[in-house]
Amino acid sequence: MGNNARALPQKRTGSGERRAEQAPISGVSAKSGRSVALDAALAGNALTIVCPVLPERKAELVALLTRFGTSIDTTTEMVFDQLSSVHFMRWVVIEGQTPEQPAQLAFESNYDGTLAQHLADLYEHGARAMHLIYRCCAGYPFADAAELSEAQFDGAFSFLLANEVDYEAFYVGRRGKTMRQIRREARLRDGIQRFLDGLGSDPMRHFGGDPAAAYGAIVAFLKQNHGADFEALSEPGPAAPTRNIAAIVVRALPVAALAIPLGPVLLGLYALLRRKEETDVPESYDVVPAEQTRLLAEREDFQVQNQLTHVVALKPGLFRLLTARAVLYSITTLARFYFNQGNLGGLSTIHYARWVLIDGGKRLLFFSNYDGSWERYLGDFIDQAHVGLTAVWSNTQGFPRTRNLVQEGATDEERFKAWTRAHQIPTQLWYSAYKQVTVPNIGQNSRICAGLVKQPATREALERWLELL
Amino acid sequence: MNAVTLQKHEIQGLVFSGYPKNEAGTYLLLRVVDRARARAWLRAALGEVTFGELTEYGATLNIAISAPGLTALGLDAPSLATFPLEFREGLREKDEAYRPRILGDVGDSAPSKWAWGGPARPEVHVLLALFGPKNDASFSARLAEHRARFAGALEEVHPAIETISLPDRREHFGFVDGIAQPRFEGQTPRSDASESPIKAGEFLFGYDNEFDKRPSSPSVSASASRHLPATPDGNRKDLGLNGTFLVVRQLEQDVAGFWRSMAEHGKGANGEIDQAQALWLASKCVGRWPSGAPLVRSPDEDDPEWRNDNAFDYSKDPRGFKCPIGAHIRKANPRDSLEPGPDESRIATRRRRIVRRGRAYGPALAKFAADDGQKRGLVFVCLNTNIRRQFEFIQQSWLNNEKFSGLYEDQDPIVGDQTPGYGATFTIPAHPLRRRLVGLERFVQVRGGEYFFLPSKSALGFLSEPVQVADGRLATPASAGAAEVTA
Repeated sequence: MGNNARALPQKRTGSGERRAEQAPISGVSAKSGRSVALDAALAGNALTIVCPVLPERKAELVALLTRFGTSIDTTTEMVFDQLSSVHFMRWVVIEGQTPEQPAQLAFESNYDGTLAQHLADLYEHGARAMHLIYRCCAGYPFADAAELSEAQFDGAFSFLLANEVDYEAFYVGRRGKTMRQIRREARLRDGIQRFLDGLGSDPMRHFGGDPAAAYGAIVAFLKQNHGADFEALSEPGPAAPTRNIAAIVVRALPVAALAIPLGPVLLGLYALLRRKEETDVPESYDVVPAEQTRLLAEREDFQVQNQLTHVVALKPGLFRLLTARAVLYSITTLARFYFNQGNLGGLSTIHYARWVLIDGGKRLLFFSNYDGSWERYLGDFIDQAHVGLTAVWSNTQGFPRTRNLVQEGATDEERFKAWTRAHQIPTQLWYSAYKQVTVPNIGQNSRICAGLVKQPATREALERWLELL
Repeated sequence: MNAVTLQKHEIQGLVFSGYPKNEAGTYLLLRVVDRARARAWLRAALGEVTFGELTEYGATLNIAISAPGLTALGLDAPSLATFPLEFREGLREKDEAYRPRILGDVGDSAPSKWAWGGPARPEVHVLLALFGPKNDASFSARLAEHRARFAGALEEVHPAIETISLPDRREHFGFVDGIAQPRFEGQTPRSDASESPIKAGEFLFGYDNEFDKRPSSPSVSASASRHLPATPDGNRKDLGLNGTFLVVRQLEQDVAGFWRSMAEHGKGANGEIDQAQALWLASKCVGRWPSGAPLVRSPDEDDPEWRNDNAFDYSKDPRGFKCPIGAHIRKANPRDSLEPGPDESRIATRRRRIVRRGRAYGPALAKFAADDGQKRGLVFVCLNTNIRRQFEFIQQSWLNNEKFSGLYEDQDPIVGDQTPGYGATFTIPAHPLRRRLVGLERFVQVRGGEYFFLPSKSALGFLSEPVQVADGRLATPASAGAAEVTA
């Protein structure tokens, strides 16, 4: 990216937090090779675009996305592998809630750099795909054009940003890691393992048991065979995030201050919640047609990661909408300032997840990019993160019965899984920039590479580093 | 002592015991050829089926039925639909669109190549498990008698699988097997119980499971049967109560290949075979020594003192320097070692246990012996009420998952599907640098299998009620008209 980066047209106002994360950085030009100190917030940002699909072009759009999605490695309309800003990305067609409501196309990306750089990257390597996709959407200014000229890119950007939706909550498994760092560190770790494997099943024998000799040989091998990656390690990257309890307190204080005078109101709201919990109707066990489960399962488990797109209507009324937003605000605050070390309340399998409200707050959309099987992901939810998830989704229709907002609900294992499958929808196009790398792998690769940048000083430190391999 | 009282007389004995005193065993794989006669046979056989928790038993008989078997016996479609999808689809799953992939049944283990249960083979409807004290004339006579009784009602779709008992409950690679067997509530506790019993609902319908919920149980309409007990809500009749699911997989073991590979990987610097080193490597792969002694207890040599030990965890070996993270027993039952911590790990693990009832088949072959061309292996049998959350989870998310617990490319070194090429590695953590085996081959291949329902006495009774004739057609009591066959 870089060369095509251009000033963005005026974007509609997003949340203050989002805007702050988007602060432009001066003089970015990866191509010029100039190293740039990136802020942590400039790795792994979220973009969500939701726009209505032209009814007459819906079938064409689904077919197109499915074709791209099933041939990620060979599609010529977008050269996915060349994208330099994207970690994960998807397009998914969401049916209307009623026959009158048109289907919508939702796009999510988790990207590095500024929004302008990200859009430029998408168009540099996939202008044709972008055009073919958005030609099927209402309000796209170049619907009749067969090709998109570079002069029209600004118009296309304006259209996309006009349809941008802010997230309610966003979680990043490994904050402060760019996609290129993740790929680079994975290549280096693999290189080391291949080198050691070449020395037999017990490589330490080869080094006469000397850790310094082993370290020296590994570094020499990498310099020789992975020179560019090795050199790039010393470039400054985004700072690793730290836990920031103060920021959480600052955000919680106004709420707490309000809570005291509003005590009676809150008690009334609690009574309202309990009454709703007693009368809400959970879905029965057999809501998931076998075909739905098959359709979803057939597309899963082709690589180390899986994705999930889930869309469900909120329970009617302002009360549930406000409760959901308050819970999601708490989650996103905790995710940003506390759960920023590779796990979310005990879950260490999520790369990126986000919640977005669509249809004017009527439906809650959830995107997740996670490691391992669906069954494990849901199992982790239930075993470890049921409190937070129940607090969010108990405000949506059909959710298993809850008590006090966070109790029961997701721990009703069979019902919770059936409910999740019932509201999960097939994702036509999903892309991952590093299909073989898990969240724990990213962390371990970073620790390995940290030891390559700066040689461990003592014998003990060298041995500890070798044990990482 | 246990709050849970199981209706043991209703529960097939296989749930409580693998009948270790019965050294001889035969699995018969049967297909229904005549529904009415098959039901009549089942009615007659019911009196011989082994029920309850027995300490003394003679020859035993247990009967399990697959999803197509239930249909063949006349269970109507709406009732079958109350069974979970994975049971209805079966182990091979009609289109092989995902189940074989997630279970690692690919390549030479693909269902299309199976000797039984695969798409190219006849459906297996009924599994008969017949065990006896000795493989003697009386056992053979009993087998012949059963064959005579089901003749005309059912036919064998595959030669009977004869099992054997290897000394000390070993499997063919030479390791003592089946030590970490979960006990469940209501079962008579073992004196050396090392973990609190698992909730009975993990292994039996009708009881609370590890989520303190009753697993959803298959059922039939209230009018379908007078004898079956009612479901808890009273609206239907409970077909699942006191029953469970049985996963059966015939796993062929290449014993000569396994030991040849271990010897190859364990070669010394001079290139000579070192059997002690090979044995050490194999034990690292398994996580126990051949005697059964866990590596976390005795990391450097086999210590038969610990041979039946199951009271261990991984708290003192978090990084696998004693028992590798990817070792078979650690992947199959991670105990306290999963993220984010021991308490959470124990909860997660207790929700994924299976009761194993496997038996070896084929003649024994000594370690490091040349291949004799004989077929041998394990008829893997396990019990669980939620195949997807228990058996399939262990297979997919632990054993075949090369990313298990922070690993990179390590599938299970014993039963993993070992993608050819560089993919299959096995990391042996060591100070200061790991050892690693590369290019592991697959020494355990799947040769057949199916998911079965192991019904209670009442459910077997229901499935064997006489077929009624209505409007010149046969209709079963399960439905007045939905599942008929022409007379």
